[in-house]
Amino acid sequence: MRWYQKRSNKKIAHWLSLLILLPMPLFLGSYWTHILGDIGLYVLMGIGLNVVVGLAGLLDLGYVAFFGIGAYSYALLASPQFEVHIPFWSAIPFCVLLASVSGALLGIPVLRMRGDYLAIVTLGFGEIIRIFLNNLDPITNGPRGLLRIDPPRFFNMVIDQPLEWYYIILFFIVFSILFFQRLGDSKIGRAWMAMREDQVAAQMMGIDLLRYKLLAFSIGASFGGLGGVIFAARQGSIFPENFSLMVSINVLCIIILGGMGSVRGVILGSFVLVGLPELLREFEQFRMLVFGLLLILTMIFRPLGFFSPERYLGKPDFNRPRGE
Amino acid sequence: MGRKLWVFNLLLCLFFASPNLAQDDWGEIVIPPQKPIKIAVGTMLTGDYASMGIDIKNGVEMAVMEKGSILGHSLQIQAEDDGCAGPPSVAIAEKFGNDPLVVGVIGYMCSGGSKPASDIHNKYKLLMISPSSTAQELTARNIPVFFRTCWNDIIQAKRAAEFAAKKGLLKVAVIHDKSDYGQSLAEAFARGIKEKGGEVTALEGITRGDKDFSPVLTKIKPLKPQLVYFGGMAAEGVLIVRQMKRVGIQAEFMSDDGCFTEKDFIQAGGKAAIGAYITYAREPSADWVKRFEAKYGPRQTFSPQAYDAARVLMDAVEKVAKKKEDGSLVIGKKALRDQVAKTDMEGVTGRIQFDANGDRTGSVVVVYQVVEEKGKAFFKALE
Amino acid sequence: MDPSIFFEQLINGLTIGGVYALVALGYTLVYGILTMINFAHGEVLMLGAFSGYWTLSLLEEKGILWNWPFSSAALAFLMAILVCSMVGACLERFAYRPLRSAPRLAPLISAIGASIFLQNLIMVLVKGRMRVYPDIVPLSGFHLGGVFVGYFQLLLLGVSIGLMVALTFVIKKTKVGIAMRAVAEDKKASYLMGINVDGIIQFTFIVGSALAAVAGVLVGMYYSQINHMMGFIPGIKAFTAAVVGGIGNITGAMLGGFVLGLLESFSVNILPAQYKDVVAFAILVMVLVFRPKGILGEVVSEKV
Repeated sequence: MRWYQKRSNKKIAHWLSLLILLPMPLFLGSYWTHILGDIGLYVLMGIGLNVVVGLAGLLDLGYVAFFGIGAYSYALLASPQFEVHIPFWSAIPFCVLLASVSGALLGIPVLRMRGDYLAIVTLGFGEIIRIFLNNLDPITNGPRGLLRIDPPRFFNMVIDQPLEWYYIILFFIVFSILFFQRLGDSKIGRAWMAMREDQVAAQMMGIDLLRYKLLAFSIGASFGGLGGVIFAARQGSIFPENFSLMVSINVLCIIILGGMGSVRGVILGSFVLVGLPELLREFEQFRMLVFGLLLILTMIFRPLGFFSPERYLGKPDFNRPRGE
Repeated sequence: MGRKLWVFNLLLCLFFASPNLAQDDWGEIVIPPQKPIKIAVGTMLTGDYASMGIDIKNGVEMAVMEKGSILGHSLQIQAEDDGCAGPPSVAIAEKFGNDPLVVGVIGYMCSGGSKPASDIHNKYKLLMISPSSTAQELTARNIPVFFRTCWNDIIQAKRAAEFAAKKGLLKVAVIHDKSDYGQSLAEAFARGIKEKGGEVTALEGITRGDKDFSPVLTKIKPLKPQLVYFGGMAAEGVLIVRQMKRVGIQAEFMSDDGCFTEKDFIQAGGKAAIGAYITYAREPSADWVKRFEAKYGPRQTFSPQAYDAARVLMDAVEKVAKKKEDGSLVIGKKALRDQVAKTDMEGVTGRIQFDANGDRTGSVVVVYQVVEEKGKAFFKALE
Repeated sequence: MDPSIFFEQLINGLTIGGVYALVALGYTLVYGILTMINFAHGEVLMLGAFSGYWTLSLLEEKGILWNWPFSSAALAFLMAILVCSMVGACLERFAYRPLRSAPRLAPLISAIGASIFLQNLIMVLVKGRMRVYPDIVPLSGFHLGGVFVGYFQLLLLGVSIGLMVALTFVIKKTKVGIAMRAVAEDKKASYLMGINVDGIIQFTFIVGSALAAVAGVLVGMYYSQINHMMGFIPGIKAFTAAVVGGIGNITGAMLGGFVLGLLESFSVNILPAQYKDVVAFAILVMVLVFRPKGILGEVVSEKV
């Protein structure tokens, strides 16, 4: 076992990283703290998508739908749109639950679909949600977006500084990571992994595919919803264009590059995805180009991502003519 | 963090500096000796509308380079990519807000970015002058640091409606591209036409990026409109004006500044674009255009507005900045803002004055028509 | 609904549908043989459009275009087919072949990567601006009961159907076609029978890409305007069309394309026009839920 796989060493690493992360904003200044917040949001969503794609093996290309549902549900509950002003902390459980229910609803029609169909259909759902958000003007204000969303209050303080958001996001991330680890180690997690590797075999072992798929979708969706709520409260205004397909693809890429099922990978992936372009603003043009290439190369050389928990043991392939 | 640091800096300066300095309500920008004054630009540098964004940057750049320096401090422009969207605009707003040398931002390019970014600017009380964000909400929210050298959607649409009514084109079909910009314009136009006693036979949305609009045009045809008004950008506008003729709609076509582009509308539209009415601001003088194009190539829509915005900012800085004995420059933020609000200058887009909300006053929008004279098609100003 | 409106929307729908059908053919061929969605196929359409544009622009510069319009157009098609075939072959060889034994999600993600790469490659080359085809297409037509039918629209329709017929002939009667069907059925057995499996797979990609290339040039000529993102949504819709008709089934792809085009066209009269795209996605979902085999049924080997 390598030294970074030992459980005791892992624990030390976790505490160390927390120790480093806590005072970081003080050294970084507002701007980079803000960027860290952006990264943190993606980490949150990456963890959620990791439940669906990484643990359960269901390729969801419409994850942004839950991000959007979380964001808009909070915005509608805490802005001048309907003159309802439910406090942030009270609204969170409701919005997350709403996202989770949407996840289950989305899961129902796709339960029996094959992997690639599932991908396209979920992509379709993501787009449908965005189009509806853009078109239901009386409710969502359409492309003009929802403005003046209430920021959270912490005792008497209004949260509107990057520093304050940093700690809130960090708090949620830690919470989510713990939740995710527990989930991965539980009976549910094992059922998902079995499902991911071979659905037929899993079914034969008595795993109720339907139930576990729905569970995966809804739990994964709740993380997306949480991310959405934070996004809305932090940015102060949201627009349908914030919830495009690119967000889904970005989150997916974080998982791919980082490793399916791996939390470390999600964190690394988020840093690379969000942080790198900030550092390389001059090369923005080529960023997506490199991105696409990176996806292809990663799939060829490390199909489970850089930090995958297990190495993929390739089956001998009879489809490949000898001599290739 | 940055803010706390320079407040400390300020106190230090006050302690050592001349007792004549009055402290500004919102704080002050201090440019140390030998350091440049930064004019920041938030615009789209890569992606779909990069050409428009880079054009804005060029407009600012030209103004800044022409000015050169203020009170012995060189002027420098710092351009960042705002991605025409919320999250990147907010990120660079934070960046600018924490840069002690930035006196103001010319930006952001798109309303979707300006709206959330304006909140950040309000937090830092950093000036924000947009050359191209036309959403009406931006000046309706009491954000004192926001100004714009372009018009807003309501003004442009009203102007268009007035013109249409004057021409007797009162039966209209309105199409928009379901964007903040396009839809706001289209709806304001529809309202305007109704106020003038006209009839809006259709109000339909299309999707940006789509190519075939024959279904929706076929739907509109039997309604026999006299005018088709399109709120949106040239990419779709030119397709609509072409397909309109193909489908057989006998109506005039009118659109907004999104279609005011030589290449994407006139050239791409060919014969179908002739006769179209497009609203836009007052064209800068041919001389300015020549100077600009000699340096940067063919101009896009907003470089004149960006140029004017930069000049407004630099002008105000020059009037308000106080030089200290040690060579540094002190600019009071509120004083700077108030100075911008008092602006009265001749810009390349006309006389520049701002109302209490930051909108430009005076007649800003002009109606053009695409005409062909001597074998060349161009935008001709009508009124 | 007014009969003339009906006919007009019919024509509109068939025109749009024709394009979807051509692209759907490519999807269906690849899916039939590899059980994989070639996400980058929409970008091949875009590349075809740009290749045609660059060819025509070059010819225009040299003064050839307006003197010999037909030959120029033919050359544009040829160049597009050439370029896209190469791209298709490269995609297969470098982005998909190494992943044949990888986990299911890998080729899909690689395809997404290829799609992003191609989009941005063109974006960088043209600096994000759109390009406009020279106006060499006759926009004339004739009137049939108050409805205008353009010659070019008929051409589009004709080309789509013609290519489909040709393709069906190839698949059913020629040696290559039989080999393609064999490989789609069972790669192992085909290999054992002496068929060059990799070669056939490459050939399939080339054919599919060539079809998309033709569609790309047609779109460029008809709508005049092309940009680097033009392949994305049509790609998804074409895939929807292939699924609706029955994936792996050539006639199905054609049928699906036209059905989708017509549904989109008519939906505009029922719903507000901004929901047009939702129609396509909604159809996809409903078909996959209620009749995943599509209208004409699937022709794919079952992956147990």
